[in-house]
Amino acid sequence: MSTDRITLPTATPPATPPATPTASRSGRSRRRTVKRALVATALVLGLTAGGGYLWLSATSDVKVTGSAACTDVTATGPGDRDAVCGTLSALTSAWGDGDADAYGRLFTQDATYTTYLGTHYQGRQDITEAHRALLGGFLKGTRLADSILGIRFLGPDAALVTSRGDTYTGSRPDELTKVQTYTLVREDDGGWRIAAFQNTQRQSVMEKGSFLLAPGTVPRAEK
Amino acid sequence: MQSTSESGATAAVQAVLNRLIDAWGRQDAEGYGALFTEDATYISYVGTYYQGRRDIVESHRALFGGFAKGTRLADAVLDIRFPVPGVAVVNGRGDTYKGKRPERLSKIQTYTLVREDDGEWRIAAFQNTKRRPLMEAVSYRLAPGLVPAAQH
Repeated sequence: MSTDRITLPTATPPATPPATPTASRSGRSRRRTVKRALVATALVLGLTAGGGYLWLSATSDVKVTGSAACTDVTATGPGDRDAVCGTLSALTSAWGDGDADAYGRLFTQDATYTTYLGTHYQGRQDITEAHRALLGGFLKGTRLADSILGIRFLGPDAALVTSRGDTYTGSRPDELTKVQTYTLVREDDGGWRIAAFQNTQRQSVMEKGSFLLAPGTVPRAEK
Repeated sequence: MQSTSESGATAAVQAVLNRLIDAWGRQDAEGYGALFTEDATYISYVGTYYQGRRDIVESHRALFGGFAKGTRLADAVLDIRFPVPGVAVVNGRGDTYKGKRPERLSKIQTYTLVREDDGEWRIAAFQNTKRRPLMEAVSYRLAPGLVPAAQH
């Protein structure tokens, strides 16, 4: 809540003392009234904004949460679902082990990786080095949680996986705040590797706001 | 050096992206959606998850009639790759705008396209992320290993 709004009008004291005690008293009581009105306004505005934010936030849960077990997901199209799930599970393990090299090996040599901040990494080496920095720094000791939204094979050698995910320490969070798309391909050695990855953080309050203002933007599965 | 078939495919994929921009400029939700596969997924920069062409068409109808009314789409392709024949991955930067095309495009996208049985390339997956340059700069300062090789 803003306090500068309250103090601003009284910040400058009168340059000269009021001529009479009566004028001084009425001036002071006027200032007191103004001050009280401002405090009340700030309170109402603050509570409305805060309450509105909390309400938006509390009512913005998604219905489509996916499945924590990749092999419970029914894939569409022709391909080896369990092999694709194996790659994703190796990714989670490499993260948990803090092993950037093992993490990077799950990507193709020319893979692209776009983070939720919009940073764009090109190639396995870039991805490996960035994760070496992350897993040894900001994200040291974290684990990766994911929940699979869908698995589609575009052919026997290419798959799309969509998921929700998050990093965490301690117990696995109920709500996964980010959304991902993985494009995987089966390479000549038979291994499934990630050719492209992108991550986006859900802006749940902004999303809810747009759903309220433009109900047509709500996905069918969230109606 | 690209093979003839690959350069033909590059042109075909680029044409899909151009049609996407045209459809957005016409505010044509049906035309926009027709460039996606029936079961396409679309993740917006707010993190909303849309499934299927109908979802994509209806949400864009709402956008073109509201928030994105009268806007145009700007994009700059970063690269087009064919990890396996018949599948393309495109990375691009993009933005919506009114008036003059912005110099700096604030969002970044991955498109995965597939050549369908009718020979047409369509978008099977799209994801958009808004860049957060301030947080990015802070993370680079604190962990210089995070700077992508292309920016060294």
